[in-house]
Amino acid sequence: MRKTAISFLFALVCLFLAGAGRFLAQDNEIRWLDNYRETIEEAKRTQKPVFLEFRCEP
Amino acid sequence: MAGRAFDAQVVLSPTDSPRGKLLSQYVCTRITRMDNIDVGLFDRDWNNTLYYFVMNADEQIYLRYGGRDARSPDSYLNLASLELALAKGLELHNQYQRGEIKRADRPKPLFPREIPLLVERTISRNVCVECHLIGDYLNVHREQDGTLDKLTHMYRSPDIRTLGIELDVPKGLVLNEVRGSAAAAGMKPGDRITSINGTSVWTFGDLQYQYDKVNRNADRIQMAVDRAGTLVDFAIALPERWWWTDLTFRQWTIEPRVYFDSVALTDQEKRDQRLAEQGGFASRVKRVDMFAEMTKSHELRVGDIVFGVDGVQKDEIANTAELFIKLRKTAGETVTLDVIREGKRMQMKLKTYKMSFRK
Repeated sequence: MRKTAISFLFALVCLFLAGAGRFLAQDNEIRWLDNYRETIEEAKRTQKPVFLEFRCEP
Repeated sequence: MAGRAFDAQVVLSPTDSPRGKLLSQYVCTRITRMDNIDVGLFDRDWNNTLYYFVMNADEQIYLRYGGRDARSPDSYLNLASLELALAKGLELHNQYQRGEIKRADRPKPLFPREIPLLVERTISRNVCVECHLIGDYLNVHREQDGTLDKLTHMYRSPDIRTLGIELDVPKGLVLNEVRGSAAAAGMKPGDRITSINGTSVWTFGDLQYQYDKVNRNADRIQMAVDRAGTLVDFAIALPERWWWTDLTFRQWTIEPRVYFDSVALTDQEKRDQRLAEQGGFASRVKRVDMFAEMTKSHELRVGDIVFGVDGVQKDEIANTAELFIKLRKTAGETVTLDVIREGKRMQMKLKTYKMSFRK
């Protein structure tokens, strides 16, 4: 019983860390849009220039 | 896949890195489907699988980043030069906002749904509008309506190295080595190219795009460089067949595939063989592709001299039989070759091969 509880707690901690790590990574990453029209609207709203990547992924 | 590592490094740039700090000042977008994109506005060499534009909300393009050559899709992709381009883009954007850059005319719009073959083979089947197909199908339509100019449309993006220009790639348009026509005109290592035929260029992508616009009949181009803070202009003589590039990576369906490489005979060799000298395209086979046998295209051997195609021995542009066929014949056409093999003249058939994308 005690072993099961410890395993459960360990799993919870791992899940928390994995989730936190993901959010930390997102905070440290550039936000990329994938829609051209939204891009133009966002550039109008923010007055920022646009960096547009075309990636062919056949 | 071409550019995959570079793509990942750019997309995953940490915000606290120099590149990330630059990217954070942009609205960043990554487009993988071309279906609803104005390919007239974003015209480019469609055989690049990775390409970037720096622009503004008015859809005015400041600069391009990307471009490849026959050596590799990655020849000119470099994180240091990308950072230079991003910094330049911010500078140009500030100038635009201050009214120091005038608004350019927008190119004529063209959407994939206006290209019949793309609609038939991709859009109507809900499959990806691949970039290379845009380029290929535009050329197929040009061939059908008689507007195809193979020197311009098939030999796209001539190689600047033909001029003797070797860039210091991480430094953008700074020259690393200068030889040939560029050296004869006076360009030197350390110069930074700033314009071509009067149009400003900031990146290799800009330079390649503008160089591609040069009329294939031109005999010289103007280039300006920044030499230690001073602008210097040069008129560079274009070498013969400056537009020629190795087409192997392009997979054009309009290109008659011949599956052999040849080298032009010298005038002396032509005299020795009693062949046409001036304008004659007699050439010696130096390599036969294994596909020649697989497709039963022809029975040429290394060392054969091909001196005629369908009875023609001269051409104003082509200097080899192989180039003559690519320029003057249609993919899939069968031609008759005049050949000299071990001193003996003979004729043989060559069936050119037409590429297919199995769509």
